[in-house]
Amino acid sequence: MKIVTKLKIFGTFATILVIILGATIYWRANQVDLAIEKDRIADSLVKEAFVLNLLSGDYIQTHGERARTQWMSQYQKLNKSINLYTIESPEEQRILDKLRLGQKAILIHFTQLQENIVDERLPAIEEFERRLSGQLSVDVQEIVSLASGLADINSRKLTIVRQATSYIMLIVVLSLSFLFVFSYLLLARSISRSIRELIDGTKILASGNLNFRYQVKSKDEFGQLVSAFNDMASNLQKLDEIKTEFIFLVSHELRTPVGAIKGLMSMINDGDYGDRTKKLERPLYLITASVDRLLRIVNKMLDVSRIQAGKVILNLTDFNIRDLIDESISSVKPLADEKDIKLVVKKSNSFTIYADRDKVREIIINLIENAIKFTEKGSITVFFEQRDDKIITSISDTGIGVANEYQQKLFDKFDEIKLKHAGKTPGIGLGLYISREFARKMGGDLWIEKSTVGKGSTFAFSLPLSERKIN
Amino acid sequence: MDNQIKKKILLVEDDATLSEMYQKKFSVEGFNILAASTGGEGFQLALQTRPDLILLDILLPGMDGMTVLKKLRDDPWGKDVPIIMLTNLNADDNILKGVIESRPAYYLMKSNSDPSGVVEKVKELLK
Repeated sequence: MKIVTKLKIFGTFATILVIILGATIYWRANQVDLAIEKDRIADSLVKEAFVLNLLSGDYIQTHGERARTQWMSQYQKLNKSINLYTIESPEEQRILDKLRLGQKAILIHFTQLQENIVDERLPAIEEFERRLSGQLSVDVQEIVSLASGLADINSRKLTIVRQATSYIMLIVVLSLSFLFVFSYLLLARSISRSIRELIDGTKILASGNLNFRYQVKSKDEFGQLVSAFNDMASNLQKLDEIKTEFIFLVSHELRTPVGAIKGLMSMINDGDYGDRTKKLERPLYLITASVDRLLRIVNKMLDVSRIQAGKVILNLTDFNIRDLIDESISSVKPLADEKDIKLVVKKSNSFTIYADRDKVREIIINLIENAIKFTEKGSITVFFEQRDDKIITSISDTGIGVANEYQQKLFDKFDEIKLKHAGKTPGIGLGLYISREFARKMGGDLWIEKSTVGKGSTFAFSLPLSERKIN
Repeated sequence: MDNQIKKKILLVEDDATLSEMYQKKFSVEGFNILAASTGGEGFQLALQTRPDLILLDILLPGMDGMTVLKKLRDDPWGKDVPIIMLTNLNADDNILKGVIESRPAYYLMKSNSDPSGVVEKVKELLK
């Protein structure tokens, strides 16, 4: 389902919850309001009945015109209150019926009492008047009692309505809050999970694993996004492959003419084309050195393209590391001599290792050449020792050293520190990357053992000891 | 070598500069050098002239060096002739397989071996 649809559904759901909450509040407020209003009417009924009771007593005592008028007025008020009262239960109906009967009775008794009041005070008339007065009092008190009954009913009902409202509001608010939070969490989870997956994938791709692809599980926006991500990764991988292929082809094509120049130079130096003049010695030496450097660059680019394409071929054999170190040192000695740097191999036991001899030579030469490159004076020491089933070879110099924060970057291809040095020192910054990849391919590793700015560095690599040696 | 019959070397190399360079080097070193620039031409020339040693490139127009090597090894004369593979290709699995089956004497990288090094190998094989 699309995210926008999910958001719409959530929005609609939240709106419905708000409407339900609003309707419940309105309904319950209305119920409470009605109960209060009825309770007020019932209270006023009691009050009117009570006042009528007092006025009845007054009239029975005084028989005055004022008392009569007041009684009639109060009677009207009582009548009005009875008419305002709405009936909701059979009990109320029964009480109200009795009230109406009582109301009629008191009016009859009051009217009869008025008509019986004459100036002549005969005993029979007085007796009748006393009976009528008594009847009126009893009837009015009955009305007071019935009105009180109604007031009690309404008072109880108001309490019930208020309690019910509290419970209903509590249940509704809790239920709606739960539904809202639950649906919100569901929505947030479905969106955040997809975002997290995308972040993880992007990190994997950024770390250099261009083979990483997502499984497209949905057709929503995230499905479209991961599909675009996959396309982007494929294009990136294709570009990377084209780049690797291009480097390989260019380097390979360069090898033939460079090889020809190198061969022809060696023939000129050998005198195959006749004697060299003294004047040409220096330029011929410089051409030879430049061609050697160019060939090393071309070979390194080929190595990188092979490493990246997973096409490194190893020719593993047993050989003596000490012999190889001596051989490698003799090939880089002229470079060290030029800068007057001493090359020292520390005495150690003889070890046979199992690796590709040419590639180990390349590692040793790379490390020593780097050491020479970044050392102005002092010495370079090569040392090897056994640690478990590995032979560790260390190359220490007294050069410029590498600050901590740059140490790991040294192993990246074409990184910025190397590029900064590119104009000042020979090389294109691939040596450490290639050397470490080779060491790892042969079952070892390569790392910076220690480095202090201004004091020098120690680089080390490990390679497996020959199995025959272990056994 | 002047007092002896000159040893005959066949160079199969398509790059004109390299071909000229090796021809010069082997002439200077006292060899009789023949050159072919394609695999087919090289194979024919080998059978016709029966050189003492063949220097064979791998990437060649038409028939490639590995095919020439295999065809020569199938020939009664060619099966024992010393052959040096002279190439710029790093040996991948397919080349290695062909190399093992067809037994060339050496597999040399052109860019890493200077002409005098190649001459040394040739002399070593023709001793």
